[in-house]
Amino acid sequence: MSTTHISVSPARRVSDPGAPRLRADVSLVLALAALVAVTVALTTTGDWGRVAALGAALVVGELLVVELMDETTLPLSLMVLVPLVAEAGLAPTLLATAGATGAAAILARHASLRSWASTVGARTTTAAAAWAVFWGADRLLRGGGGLAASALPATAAAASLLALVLAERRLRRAGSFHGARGHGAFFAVAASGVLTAIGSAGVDGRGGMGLWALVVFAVPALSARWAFGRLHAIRRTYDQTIDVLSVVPEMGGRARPGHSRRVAELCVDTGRMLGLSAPALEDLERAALLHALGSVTFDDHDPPGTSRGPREVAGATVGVLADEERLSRPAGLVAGMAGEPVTLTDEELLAARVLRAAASFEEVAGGDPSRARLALATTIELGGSARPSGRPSAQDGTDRRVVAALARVVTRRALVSHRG
Amino acid sequence: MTATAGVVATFIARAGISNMEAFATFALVAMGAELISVRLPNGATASALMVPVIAAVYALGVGGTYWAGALVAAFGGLYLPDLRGARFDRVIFNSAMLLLAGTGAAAVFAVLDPAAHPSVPAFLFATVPAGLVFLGLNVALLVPMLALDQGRPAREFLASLSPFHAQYIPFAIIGTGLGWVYLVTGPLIIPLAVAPVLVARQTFRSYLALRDAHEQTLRTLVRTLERKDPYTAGHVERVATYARYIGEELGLSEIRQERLRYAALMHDVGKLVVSNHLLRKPDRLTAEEYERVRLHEAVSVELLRRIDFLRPIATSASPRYARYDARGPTDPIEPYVIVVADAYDAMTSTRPYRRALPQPVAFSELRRHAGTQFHPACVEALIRALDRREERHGLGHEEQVVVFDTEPPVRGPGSAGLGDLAPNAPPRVPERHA
Repeated sequence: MSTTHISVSPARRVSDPGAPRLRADVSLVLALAALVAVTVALTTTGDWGRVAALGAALVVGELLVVELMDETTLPLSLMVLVPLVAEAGLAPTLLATAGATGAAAILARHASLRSWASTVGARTTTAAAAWAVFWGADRLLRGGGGLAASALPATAAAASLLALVLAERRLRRAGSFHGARGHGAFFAVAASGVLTAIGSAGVDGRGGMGLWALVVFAVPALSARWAFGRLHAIRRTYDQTIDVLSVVPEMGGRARPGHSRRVAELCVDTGRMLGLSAPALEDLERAALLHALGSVTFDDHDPPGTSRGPREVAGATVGVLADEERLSRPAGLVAGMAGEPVTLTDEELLAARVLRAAASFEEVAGGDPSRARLALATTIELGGSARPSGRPSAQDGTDRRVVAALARVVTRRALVSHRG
Repeated sequence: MTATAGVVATFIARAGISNMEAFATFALVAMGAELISVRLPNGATASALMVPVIAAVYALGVGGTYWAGALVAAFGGLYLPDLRGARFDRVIFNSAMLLLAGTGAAAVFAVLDPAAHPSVPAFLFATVPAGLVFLGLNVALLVPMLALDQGRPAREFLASLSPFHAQYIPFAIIGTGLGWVYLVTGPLIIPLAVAPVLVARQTFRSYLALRDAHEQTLRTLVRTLERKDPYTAGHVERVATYARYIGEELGLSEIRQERLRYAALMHDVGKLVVSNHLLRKPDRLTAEEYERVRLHEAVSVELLRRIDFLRPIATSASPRYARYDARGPTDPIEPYVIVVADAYDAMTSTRPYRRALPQPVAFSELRRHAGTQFHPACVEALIRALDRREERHGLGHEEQVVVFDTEPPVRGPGSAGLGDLAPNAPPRVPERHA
């Protein structure tokens, strides 16, 4: 048995980040916030105290970020932008935004000058867009006269928030921003901004709560940040735990090095081609990483790899899956792959087939492109033999579709690697 | 309770509702809030009902009476699925309970009367205690009912509810803000104010689902370990329990307790790469075999390091690394907690190579090596926690009796743990099981 290939080194001591650094950071933030606040206050003609406070809040908001699922972040400063454009002119808004973003980027230790400049540029553009839309909407609505006075600021603010979200999205690299989940966070932060704008100024000078609005309506945004933080943390821990479990069969000599990772990549590409949704792809990837775990329970006289097919390996994995009434979705997919009687939705059923096909393929190909043709042939054959007693069924069509998609993925990869 | 609630409702209805539009709006929002509530693992639900209730107490209290807001809370009990399923007993219970909780919140407002000199600080000053009273009454009335319903002690429900309490105070503050802007703008503002709460709720639901999936993955790991090495059935979970006891004695925070639990459940992950026959071997291990088995500790440490959350305490998986006399000044205490929990369970369980030791022997072994091998604070914390709970483990108290192919010796090779299984090893304390 080849036990393991990792090196054993004495434990490196890991300590928690020290308190002194935190204290220095906090004082630096406060100093910068004060600086931005005073600068903004001096350049504006309005209620300078209020605008100064908004400028300071902008710096703090830049540092308080919502961690989104795709490793991008959303700063709470967007929430402060709406009241700022509503109260201050264009110049103070831009100045405050640039100052606050720049300060925060320094504090967050941005890697390069370029990323620093792009962050400052992006946020300033967002601020300008929000300002333009807010004032445009305000003029337009007042001129039209049909709307109730109370609806005015809300509509203007809502329009500016829309511009804000659109601008921020455009400025992000395409593809790095996955739809629905990020939208929610944007919406929560921007809606808090609109509430702050209305709460702070009131309607027609009536019922404004002043700066208290910032305190009161930061609460929903902070709650959303807290919830996203918890979600992000558990997601990372969960995925890293699965990663750890995925390498165990390889370390124990029960699978070829990189087997689970390769199956996972094939699954994601094939699943995407078949139009699986983003959450379904995530579950499929996790299922692929876990599918071979059960092989570590096999006895040692078994030669690794060859004698056990992917379905048997998956069967062993199902044997160790928590036997709850309600399996987690990745566990359900592994069970589906092994042919266990589990209830799956149509999409999950398709995902389970993808997993089975990808695992069969990888079992033969083993990461070697020259074996891809043979591996595909084996996979197609396996798809046929899975048919119960020669009766044609709806499954056949699905399996053919899955294998065809897999073949396309494999062929495309071969072409890319040839060119490369 | 229902009778009391009925009397209260009549009283409020007689007092009159000044702003019918606000009342209807918040009543609808209250029903909606319950409709989208999140079911917690313990069967209770977490909802944002506090937002419309506090908003109504505030908005109806300005120029009217705070008590009318309490009536809004009762609408939270009109849970549509219950109504559709004709479960009227639940509807009545919930409405009555929420009415009483809302009345408590309104009472706080009535006493402090922020509308007398309206200002935001005055309202915030009333909001927080009102939110706490609402929450307190809600829990006080609900928990006994849940306990009766499911036949489990009330303490369990309280303990599992506690982490979710903190998020209700923000809801109360949002409620005040909503009440304020409502009076300024009217019902148009409702969707905007509800949106962030909806997003938070959706996110929280995803969080619960992922946490559940992660728990299942950990259980899968535990099951795989037990499949490989049936003689250690229950070991990992017992280590997690002892680690929790020690963590509680040491007053670790919630997040550190969570980390401790994950690390305890994963501390043997490296065993998965050791072959089955070595793990199950009842005889003395050869020098080479011994090294191969011991390698799993290093593998575990290496794997734990790959998980960011566990990296600071990755040495939990190895008593070699987490020796008390070799500790660094900034080392977190968690690895020492797990090493003590692990050693205690190894000593008090029967293994192929020896029978379980009696508990007093295990205690004295732990104490004998406190200060060198074990962290003294952890040793004392464990003994204190077990004594207080009057838990007995070890010879004569084993929960799961494993049937062995060959009866393990009462004492003999390995009677003091794996260390003695290596040829020519000097007699030593149980450092670790195989």
